[in-house]
Amino acid sequence: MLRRAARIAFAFVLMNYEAVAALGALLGGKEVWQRR
Amino acid sequence: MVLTFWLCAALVAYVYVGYPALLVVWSKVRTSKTSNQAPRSDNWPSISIIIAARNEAHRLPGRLNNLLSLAYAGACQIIVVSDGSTDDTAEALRPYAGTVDFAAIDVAGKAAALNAGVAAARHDLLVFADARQTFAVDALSELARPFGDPRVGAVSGELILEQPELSGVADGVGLYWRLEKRIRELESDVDSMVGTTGAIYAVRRSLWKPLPAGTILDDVLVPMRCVMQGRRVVFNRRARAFDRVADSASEARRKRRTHAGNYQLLAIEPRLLAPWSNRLWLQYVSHKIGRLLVPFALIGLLVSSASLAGSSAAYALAFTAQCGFYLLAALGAFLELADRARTRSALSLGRSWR
Repeated sequence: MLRRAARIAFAFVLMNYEAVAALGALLGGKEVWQRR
Repeated sequence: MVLTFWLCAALVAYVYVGYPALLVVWSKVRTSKTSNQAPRSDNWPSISIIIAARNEAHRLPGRLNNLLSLAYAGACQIIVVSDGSTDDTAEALRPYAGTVDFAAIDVAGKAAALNAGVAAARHDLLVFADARQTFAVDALSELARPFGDPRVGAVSGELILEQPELSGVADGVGLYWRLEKRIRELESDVDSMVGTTGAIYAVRRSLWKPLPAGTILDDVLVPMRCVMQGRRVVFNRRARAFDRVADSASEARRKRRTHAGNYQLLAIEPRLLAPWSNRLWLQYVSHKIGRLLVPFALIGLLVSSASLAGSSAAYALAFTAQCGFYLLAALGAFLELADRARTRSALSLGRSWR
């Protein structure tokens, strides 16, 4: 239960804070097209 | 600081709770269902499937075999556009000569590859797909079905993420993705989705406009252009594509790309932000812009509650709860790292047995 909650919390943080990284990447002119 | 705290809290709550709740109520009041009746057997629209690929030689044979095995009653063309691939893409496609159309362009990005694919398309419906996923056997029929309604301009299928046994982050990503899909479904019921699933969507060729060079999110720009031409963008969850949840680093890169694409769209198509030219303005701002603002609101929430913690027990509790949440997330990150190490050692053990 705790492990599942921890993983969900981690995914939430990861998915949201990537918006900040995305803005930084765009402003820095970095290549973001490349897929996973 | 009090105002900052409450504004940030309201924004996060609206994006993740208020907006989905609003859609639930809205979809009950105003449902715009489309007819999902199959066309007469001789009346299925002809389809051009377009795959933009860069260095996907290892995936393309499997992907093409999947597409060639689909059941579809209408005519179907498959086009693969290589975007400056430096691997054996051309070689991998050689066995499919005569069955699959192939075009190669210099490295110019996915948007240019899709433009080249559409230029080579012969049919009325364009279906966009990626090299890495697979389609269910009836996916094309299900994608084509809603186009029987002339108001429909684009149809999105459902991407089903299969969770590998050892992936820890899959749980969280799966939950996030389920919420996202539910929101899209409700948006479709109300009027239209504000984006499609890039791995499986279809659009009428008559509504297609070439993508500007460097467009990151074709799967948002293309459907929103349909909306701005007065058509609907609907979700058919019976049109299924399958993929696996990747590890957290890959998911993070994918998400960063999506967020960057949403920022970029504001520059490419600023009319999206004007309520008088975008009839889905409320949905677009709540769903797409809201997601871009949430991380900044989360930072604002943490900073403001920390500075207000000494003034009231309520703010102290809010600050403590956030600290607890971030500690939980840190534990999740640790578990993810441990899972990855376990996967690596399982893989190397597997290799040593060969």
